[in-house]
Amino acid sequence: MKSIAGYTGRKTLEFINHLLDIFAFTFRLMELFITRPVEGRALIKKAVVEQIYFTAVQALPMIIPLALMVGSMLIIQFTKLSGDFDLGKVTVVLVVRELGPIITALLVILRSATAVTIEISAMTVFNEIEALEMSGVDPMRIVSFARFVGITTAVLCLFIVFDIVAIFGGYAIVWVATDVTMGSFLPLVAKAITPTDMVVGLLKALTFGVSITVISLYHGFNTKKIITMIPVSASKTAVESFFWIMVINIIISGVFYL
Amino acid sequence: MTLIELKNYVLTPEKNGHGISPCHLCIGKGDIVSIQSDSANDAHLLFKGLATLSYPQKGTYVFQGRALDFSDYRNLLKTKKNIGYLTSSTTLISNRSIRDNLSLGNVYFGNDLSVKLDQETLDLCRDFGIEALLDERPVNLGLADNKRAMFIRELIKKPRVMLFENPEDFSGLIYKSTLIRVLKEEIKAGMALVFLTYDEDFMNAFPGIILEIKKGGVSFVSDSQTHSG
Repeated sequence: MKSIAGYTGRKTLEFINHLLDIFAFTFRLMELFITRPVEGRALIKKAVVEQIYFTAVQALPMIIPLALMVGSMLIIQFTKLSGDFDLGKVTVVLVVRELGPIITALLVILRSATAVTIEISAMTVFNEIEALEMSGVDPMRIVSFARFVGITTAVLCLFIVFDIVAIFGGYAIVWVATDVTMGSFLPLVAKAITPTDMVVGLLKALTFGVSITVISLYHGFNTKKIITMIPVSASKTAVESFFWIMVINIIISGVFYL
Repeated sequence: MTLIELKNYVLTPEKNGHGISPCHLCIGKGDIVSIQSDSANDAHLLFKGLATLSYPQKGTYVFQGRALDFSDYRNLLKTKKNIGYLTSSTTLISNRSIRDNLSLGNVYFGNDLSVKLDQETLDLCRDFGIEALLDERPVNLGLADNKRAMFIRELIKKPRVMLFENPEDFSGLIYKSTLIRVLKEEIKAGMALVFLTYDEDFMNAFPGIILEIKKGGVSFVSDSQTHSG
């Protein structure tokens, strides 16, 4: 009994410690928005643009078909139920409030978060972070801050692209490829969507972007200097990011809609 | 003029080895310090300690008259910039070209992405045979080429002190005399050199104070001004 209590206590303390570490790391990143030293600004701007290109632009060939598939599939299913439900409202609830941010975040976790963790873990294991420090360069600014801003911006942009393509593209596909009667689908969606829906969607995308980036960077920097720990860190990033975006999703939905 | 002063400095071992027991040492401008150690791990740890990459368990590190504050890594970046660090764990940034690696410091501190390598750096690249490889990434080059690029990167920082573990690994046979010549010029200009070598040419080229590490204890064996703890 004593050992079970001890084990539970240790695990709880470890969890709290880990959570505090993540918050401290987030705070350190946020601090860089305020302090903004002059040194390295040009290099950081370049790295931010590169990161947005890697995370957002290169993900477009993946997110657009995904949004079209999800959008058209949902519209076909909803039209079958249009007698029972408000088609526009259901689309807004599912696409804008829930699926849009979640699918976008999932894609970024799979494509970019794991890649960032692997890259930074490798930099840690092979002493490249030390090499940056020995040049007098702050790795938190050049490596972390640029990725933090870049990935968060990319998640926001991808979320907007996903919603637009899922609703308009999905509608266009169903209209062109099937003979399903949709009535006045687009006016219904326009009528159903409220400013709160848009704020919630954007807020979710923003917080998902922040949490995904912080978790991926944190695990990258905290990799033990053993090469076999790189895949372990990548796996932790994927699982933890997904878990925390689900938690954040419930909290935001609860705050705005309960 | 004293560049580095360690007071009652203790480093705990990172892997194997004894660590560094309480030691007092001074390194002055233009000093040449040759390290002899019974443990490669302890010698490497001392290099890391002098580069402020390993934090002390206790003691004070004074660099150019200023005691260093180890409570935040950011306080150490300016000091690190003044220290050349060439050891078995030194590396290049792998996703940047050699040119980017060499210009990183200037680009970062100058806030100008168009910064080009100056003539002195280009001359060094030519002397060390990497002039044609500047636009390659380190992964596309051999270890020897990368090591010479690392040496140039550390040298163009204009460090106050160069920490050099096994310089023969960085020069190879072909560039040994060039490396010795360049180092001698820098020492003449006031740079201190702390090195560990098993190569006789380097030992003969840089006669200086011998710093002995025995079972973690550090002592100077050929200089009376500095002392062990």
